[in-house]
Amino acid sequence: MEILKVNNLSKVYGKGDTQIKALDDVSLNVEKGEFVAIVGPSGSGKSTLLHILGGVDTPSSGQVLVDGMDISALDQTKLAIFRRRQIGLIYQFYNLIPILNVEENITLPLLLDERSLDEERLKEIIATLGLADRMGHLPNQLSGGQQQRVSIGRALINNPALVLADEPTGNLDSANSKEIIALLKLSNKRYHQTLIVVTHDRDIALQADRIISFGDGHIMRDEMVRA
Amino acid sequence: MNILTTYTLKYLRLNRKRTAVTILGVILSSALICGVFLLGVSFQKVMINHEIYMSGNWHAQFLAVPYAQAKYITENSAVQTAMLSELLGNATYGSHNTARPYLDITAYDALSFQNQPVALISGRLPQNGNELLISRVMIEDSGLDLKPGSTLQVTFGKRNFFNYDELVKAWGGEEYVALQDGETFTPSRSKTYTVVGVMKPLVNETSMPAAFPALTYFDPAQLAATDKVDISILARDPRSIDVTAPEIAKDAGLAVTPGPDGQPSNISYNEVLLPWLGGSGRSNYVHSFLLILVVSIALIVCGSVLLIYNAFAISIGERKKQFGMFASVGATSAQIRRIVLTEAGVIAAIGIPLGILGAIAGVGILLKLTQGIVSQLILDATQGMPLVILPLVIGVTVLFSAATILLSAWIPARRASRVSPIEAIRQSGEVEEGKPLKPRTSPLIRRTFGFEGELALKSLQRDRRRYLTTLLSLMISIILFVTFNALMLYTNTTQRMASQAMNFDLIISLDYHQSHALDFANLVGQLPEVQRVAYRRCAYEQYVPPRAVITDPAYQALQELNNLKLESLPRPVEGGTYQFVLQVCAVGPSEFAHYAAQLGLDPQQYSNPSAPLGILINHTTLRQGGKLYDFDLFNLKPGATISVSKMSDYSSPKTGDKAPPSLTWTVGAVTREFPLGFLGTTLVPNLIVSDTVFDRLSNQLLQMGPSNPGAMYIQSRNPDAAVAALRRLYQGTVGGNFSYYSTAELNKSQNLKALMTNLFFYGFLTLITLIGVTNIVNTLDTNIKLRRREIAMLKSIGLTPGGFRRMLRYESLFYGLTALLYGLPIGIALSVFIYYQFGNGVGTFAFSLPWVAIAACVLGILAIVFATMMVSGAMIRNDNIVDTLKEENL
Repeated sequence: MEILKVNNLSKVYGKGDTQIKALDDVSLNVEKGEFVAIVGPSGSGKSTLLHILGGVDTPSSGQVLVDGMDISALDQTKLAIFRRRQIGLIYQFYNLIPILNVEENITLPLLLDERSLDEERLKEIIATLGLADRMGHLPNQLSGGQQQRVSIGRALINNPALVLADEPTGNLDSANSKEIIALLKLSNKRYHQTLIVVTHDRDIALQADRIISFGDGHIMRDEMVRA
Repeated sequence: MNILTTYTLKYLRLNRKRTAVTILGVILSSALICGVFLLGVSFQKVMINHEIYMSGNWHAQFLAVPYAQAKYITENSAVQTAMLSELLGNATYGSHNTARPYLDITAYDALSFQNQPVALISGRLPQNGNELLISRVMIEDSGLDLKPGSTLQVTFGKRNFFNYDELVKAWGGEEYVALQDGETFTPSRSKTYTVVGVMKPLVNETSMPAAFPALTYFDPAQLAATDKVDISILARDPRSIDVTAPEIAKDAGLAVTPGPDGQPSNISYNEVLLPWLGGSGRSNYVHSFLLILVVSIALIVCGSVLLIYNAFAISIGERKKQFGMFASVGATSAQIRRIVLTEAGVIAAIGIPLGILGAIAGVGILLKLTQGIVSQLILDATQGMPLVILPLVIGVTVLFSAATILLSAWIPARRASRVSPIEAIRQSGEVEEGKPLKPRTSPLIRRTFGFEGELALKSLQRDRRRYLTTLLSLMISIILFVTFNALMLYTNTTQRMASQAMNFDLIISLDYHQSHALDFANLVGQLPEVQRVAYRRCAYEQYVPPRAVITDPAYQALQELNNLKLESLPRPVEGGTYQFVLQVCAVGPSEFAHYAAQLGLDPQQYSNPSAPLGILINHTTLRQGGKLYDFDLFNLKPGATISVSKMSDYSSPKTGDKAPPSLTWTVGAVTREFPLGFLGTTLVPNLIVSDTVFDRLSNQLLQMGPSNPGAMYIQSRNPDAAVAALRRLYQGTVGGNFSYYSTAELNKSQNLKALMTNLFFYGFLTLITLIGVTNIVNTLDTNIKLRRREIAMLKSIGLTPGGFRRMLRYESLFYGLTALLYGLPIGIALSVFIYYQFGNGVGTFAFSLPWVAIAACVLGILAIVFATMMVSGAMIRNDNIVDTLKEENL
């Protein structure tokens, strides 16, 4: 089942001479439960693609269908609601709300949606992430790896259609990096979670089901690593 | 609790300092708004009470209504209370007082007694048509040994004297005309009254030189349908009384005949009370009172909007990334807006009630402190000003403050909700797209201020929004301070002018139609208690100068002013010239000698009636339509002549009167100096002549009753002793009491008024300054704190602590100077605007600016900016460079 369908997506910055095509007519499909790694040099357009998929950036032209819904046609409010229900975003710099504690940060998408908390799911995620004794802590009381685990929790809490991670280990040492990737893989396996990870790290990419290589706004190569 | 509310409360709690500053701003602003309203309403209340005490509690009065039609007025739905009274007229009462041989009797119904300014001293109010309430002055002066219980045989009738109709019209009623030489009385009917009570002298009693006022009970049973009654009403809506009153009259079938001023002549309005009730009325005092109120509120709202806006803008700017995070995990714009508005709501909920309580306490204390002053200022307000707390005032304050906060939070809230998540993630929002920054500053800057100076300037230019916010907050503080000081300056100038204009201490009304007047005036001059005395008698004549005699500036001004309906404005006549009213005055021999000596003139030359000489005062200063006029009226030099003619009708001079010249004056001197007792005139030239000339030519001069019947102006070192001496003299020569008006008392109360205004102003200025300083400190402090990372970065590449301090110093200098550069001109422009508002309403004074305040402002701004930057800088100077660089959320 196709969870993501991207048709002829382009993103252009600037005008005239200073125009930069970050994405140039990109099309791709992702199946539900797939673990996709997007690799490529800086400025190749991979992060732009991820942001557009996540509904935080808008394309210049083209179509993005998530679970059959065209998100490029949504207005700002509907897009926000789409984000909190269908997307889990994980950033290099965690981007947690500094004054909310771990539990509040993780449950934020649910709370924004004014839905009641699934205590079981929360407990399970927290246990999986190893944050059980950190629930009341503020982000700045945690290590980098712990903060990233919180942001993974926030991405998973809503059982989204897509989890998008932008250099999730870019700011971490190798031990922590391994742990984070293991957690992402676990979520992919255990919850059958579709996962798209942008990374520089060849080792991480090799753990994915599929590797898409970007260059100059185009897909240079799209290879299935394992079925 | 909703996660957004939780977040907001947490944020407020964690950022105690910022929250406290914002709440302080809200407290200050709502306290100021509430304080102004409280003072305003309390002041209004005390003025309403005062005017009611002075002139009675009524809005409009219908005069001479046939009794049969009275019920149409009393039953009109627009009328809340109707009071009936009847002028019974003059009556003789067997008096021994030769100056005041009459009783002027009016009948009041119960409501009139209640609402008119009648204050009982002893006895009781009349309860039927045979009972009489008399004034204390009558008890003292009638020589009849009257007391409650006495009976009084009176004879009503009509006074007969020369020029009856014209004099009655000129004085506004028979009761106001002094006893005339050769006057007779035609009796009509007699009646016996029982005196039942004694009242305080009525306010208009001193204007009745020939009669004592007395009140009896209005008895409808004794009235015929055609008898005329006066009906005073309290309208349901006093604000529209000038529209409703004529309608009421029409509905009652009364003819509404317009008088000379276009207003119905048979309706009169309570012109002193109505302005305070929000009704129409031409009161300069109310005008300037409202002006001060409006300007104050506007300044407060401006200042507090900016303070609160800045606090929000900063707190939102700081959290831009957080809002981006919220957005990226799916918060809608509405939800993010709600965060800001919840924050505003919480702050309002804490700040506004505290502000209101503070204002009530503050104004309460202020009114307590000024109680003594106020009770001296206003005769009847022994309790001082009451603290009037209307629910409306609280409501309006809440409304104003809430609007202020909403206004302040709305723009930051919108900005926050527009934060695109991608911007926040990239943290690229600081730099506006499509606007490349000028990469270089002028080489001059580097040469003058060094690299740190250039860095300082660049950091100002780099973030325009932050720069503008800071600059604006400095500017507003400057503008508020300068404007408010200008308001204070102009108010004080106006008040000082009002009190300086009077160079005399006592005024005694003396009608020159009375034979004893001149003798008495001469005797007063000999009293040792009196330093200087002017017995001023004036006559009015018509003067149509040739066009060439009118100066060009005067001519131009007259053409401009003729559109305005000014009283005593010269009228244009055929031949392109104007018809002036010339005021010819004698000031008494002693003052004339004094005046002539002052001008270096020989008084002897002015005493020849066959070749009459006069001293011309024809300089005019007035402000109209925002323009200052300052000119001489005529091109007349000593030796020139002025041919005048009789005025055909003193009340409304007609155009192009062909009356032949009746008298020709020769100008002996031209001056701008006034003798004692003159307040300055606008477009009426004065000719001061000697008493000899005035008396000898009086047949040609005094053909008509002037508006000024003659008055004595006295300068005295001890006004109280002078009054006592005058009283003895008056009783010894004329007999009875005399009415006087002490300007010394007025001057005293003017000073008190100024003192109180200043008290109010300085309290206010302190708070306005506090708002300004809080605002500046808050903005600058944040400005530095937000740049921690950038500064850490600069330090990491080798900026020394000394260099850092230098950079901050230059930044302070640039901020301070730029803010002054923009703020001062705007503040001065606003001051000019306020100056013109004053000129229109109150008086004429030359333009000036509050220079001391401006200097204080320049120094203050530089000092505060400098101090804040240094303190904030010192706080972050010891930051660990690496930690700061790593810090993610500032």
